[in-house]
Amino acid sequence: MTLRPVAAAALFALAAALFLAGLARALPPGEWLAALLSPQPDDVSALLVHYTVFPRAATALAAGASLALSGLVLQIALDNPLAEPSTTGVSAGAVLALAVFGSAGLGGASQSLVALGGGLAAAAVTLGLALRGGLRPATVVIAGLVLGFAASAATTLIALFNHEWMRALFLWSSGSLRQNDWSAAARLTPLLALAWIAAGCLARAFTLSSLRDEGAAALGGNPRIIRLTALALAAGLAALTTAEVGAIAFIGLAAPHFARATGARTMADRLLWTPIFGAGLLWLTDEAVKLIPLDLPTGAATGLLGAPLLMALAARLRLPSLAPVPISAPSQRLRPAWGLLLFGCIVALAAALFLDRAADGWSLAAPAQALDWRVPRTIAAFGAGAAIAVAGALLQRMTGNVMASPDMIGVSAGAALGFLVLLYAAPAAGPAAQLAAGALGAGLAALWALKGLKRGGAPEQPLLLGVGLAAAFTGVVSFLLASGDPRMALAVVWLSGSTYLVDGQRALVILAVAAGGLSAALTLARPLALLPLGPAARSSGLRIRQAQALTIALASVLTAAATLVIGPLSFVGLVAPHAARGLGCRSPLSLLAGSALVGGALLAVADWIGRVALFPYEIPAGIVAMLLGGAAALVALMKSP
Amino acid sequence: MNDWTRRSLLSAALALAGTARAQTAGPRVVVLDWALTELALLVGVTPAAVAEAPYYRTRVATPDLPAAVVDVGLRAQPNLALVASLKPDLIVRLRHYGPPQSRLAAIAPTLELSIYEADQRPYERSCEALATLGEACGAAGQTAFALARIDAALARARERLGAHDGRPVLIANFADDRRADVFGHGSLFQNALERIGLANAYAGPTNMWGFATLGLDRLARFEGARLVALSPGPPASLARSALWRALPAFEDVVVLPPVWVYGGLASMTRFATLLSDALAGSHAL
Repeated sequence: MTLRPVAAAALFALAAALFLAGLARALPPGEWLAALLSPQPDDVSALLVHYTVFPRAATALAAGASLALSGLVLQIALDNPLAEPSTTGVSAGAVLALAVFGSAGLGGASQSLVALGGGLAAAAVTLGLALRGGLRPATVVIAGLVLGFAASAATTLIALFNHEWMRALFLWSSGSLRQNDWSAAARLTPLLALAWIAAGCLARAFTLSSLRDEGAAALGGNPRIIRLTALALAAGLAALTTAEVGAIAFIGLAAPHFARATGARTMADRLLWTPIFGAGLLWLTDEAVKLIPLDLPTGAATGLLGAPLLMALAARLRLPSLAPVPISAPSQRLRPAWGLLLFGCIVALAAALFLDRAADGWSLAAPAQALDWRVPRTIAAFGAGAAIAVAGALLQRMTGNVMASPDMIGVSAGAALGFLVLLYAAPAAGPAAQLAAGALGAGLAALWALKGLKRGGAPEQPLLLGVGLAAAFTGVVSFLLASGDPRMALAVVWLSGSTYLVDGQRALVILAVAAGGLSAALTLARPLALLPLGPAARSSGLRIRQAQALTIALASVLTAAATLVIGPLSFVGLVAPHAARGLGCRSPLSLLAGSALVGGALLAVADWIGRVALFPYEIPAGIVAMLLGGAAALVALMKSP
Repeated sequence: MNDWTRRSLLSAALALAGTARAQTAGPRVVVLDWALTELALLVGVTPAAVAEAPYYRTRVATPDLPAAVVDVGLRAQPNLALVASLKPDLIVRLRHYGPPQSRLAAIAPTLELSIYEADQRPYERSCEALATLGEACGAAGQTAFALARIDAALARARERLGAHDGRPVLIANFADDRRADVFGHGSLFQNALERIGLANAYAGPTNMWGFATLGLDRLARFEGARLVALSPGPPASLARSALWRALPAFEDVVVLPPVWVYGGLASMTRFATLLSDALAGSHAL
């Protein structure tokens, strides 16, 4: 009971102390008030304090509270503790809009408006799609995720060809709280206040909706209306905040858990305290960031500092177990469409291997040429796609969580982090060293995930840890990309998932890993059929902990291998199992095999399109796969009843 | 762009192009980096192909890249199949960038050159790279001429600045409306400033490419310095803001046309020419 005020007071006191210490370095205390209210026009220090120091703190407080409130409302409305403001696709939409209109870095109201427009459009698409599916939380989550992935793929594609925007775009999307005036704080604060009051009025409705649909309806609430209102509120708030300060990850995810962990139980308590903790967390992070001489974006720091916090919290937190939700539209097919799957694979591989574009137009490539250029890339794309798809199928099957994808256990983040840090610290290191650094990162992440499992929590707990690690990774990546280091252009290519650097040896290795991983996964078919039942599975003689550990270990190996060969491809791991299910693969056995075929074919055809579409410019396979798969998934969502 | 700028740019371009002639007999060279493309053109070697050739023409600009030069795709990942199909005699790459040496060496002999390194000696390295490149392309005789033309262009720039008030300059490339890359030790711009007799207001630490990213709060502290922004200059919203207008450091900012900040000797000369024109021109007003 007394924990909350104490924790909040500690957060704010620490942030305020850092803030005042910084202020004292800029101005003597006697002049603070004058600088805040009306600085002398000829006093540079006072002007800077008035236009940069105070507005930055005010913006941090308002943005932190907004993100936290948005995250909390989303977690309630979607009944998913992993939901955060970007779940509705808002931040990806905002970044894409800035890229399309080339207005990143321009600053001012025009930049905010473009970002706000993009964010709101993305949220509208997500909610519109989900509305057709009856606003099931699962549909919202999937639509938002898919839209987010597709939008960021489109952004990367634009950025690859527009270097002049790339820097400003990465700087903005890494979430900086630097301010030149009071406009951001002035725009955010009244809207935050309104949203907070609105959320307070909805507290009773939220309590009802947390009883799940049947319960809410029994007590006289209309769950659909409640959910739509909540989602619109959360998405609008997230879009506004993102438009002002860029993508600041993690506050919206962590603050609700923070409030819960310090004892906010009732809905009213949670609505009151979550924004307070969010404001404190972001302010403190920002003040800490200012102490570091590097120009570290605050969004990068929230990921870095927040990840260990979330991990520590996760061990103590009793997560409400996620209800196994219907993941895809139930297929009309009774049996897997093996014929269609195999045909698709053959067409994809044939195109990738034999149809080529060169300086003088299209040609059916001679096999000898194909051996040189296309065979290793096609094999690697197919193998990596299959491996990551099997990993995704394993994790989704194990947790019954629609958001479970290989990057959620943090393995691809770990691998990518290892690779990037080496690229930055020792640019001269060869491919062997890069592979080793990546493997080390992946191994550490997998160990971490398994350790979280051993402490005995819900099967989602390793996922929560993975989310923390992924947030930290995103932070480091955006910091490196925004650093102005021209070598990072190659990193962007690799981070998007590219077969460019693959040679014959690596291609065979990843194909072998995919085949071996699939065979191993098939032996786990029986435990995987039982695991989603939760504790009930124990009664059928299953050693749950052991089965979970095996599943995670296998998924980690597959993810790490695919990441190391062609980069993080989380999207394929998310979407391939869904597509396989849509093609009638229901049993664990057929789901695993079907996912492998879908993932492999998707990435092989994406690699081919990436090579020929803008010849001689090459688009990374991962970007094409996201655009293709994203479009297909959105169409499927639109068609689903 | 003002008249004076266009005129001296033209003359600088002509001077730099020197004896650039159609490569009929020379080796077929594929260059994967823009700074090295500058160097090749300086010694009169027209590459058969350059990565992102169309973007070179707008962002690096001088020396001119003939329209016939083939585009081989992104600098970070040039299209290797296309490079191979051009059957080059020599591939020129910059150290640390693009595909690994082993991949390129399988296609044709590959020359690896370096400019921006941890030792922050881009000028010396550029001159060495120029000589190495000239030798590898059978144009060793052109190196001395190229260096002489650069010296002459820098001397002309210094002369034009004769009447300049001697205010130190702060060379900034705005990343967005809140921060800018400020160039100092380790950049070729620093060498250019020294050669044309201008003082750099920024003497702080810099990264491998000779710049440091500073926020507005730091930029505002260079009072008395002349702020020189590379194109496109400070974003409009920043230039309109109350803070910008109130701060004396931003009073008379000069905006230069695009200059390639990771460039070579030609970009350095282009920078010196543009800067001396801008400062001399603004004083004539």
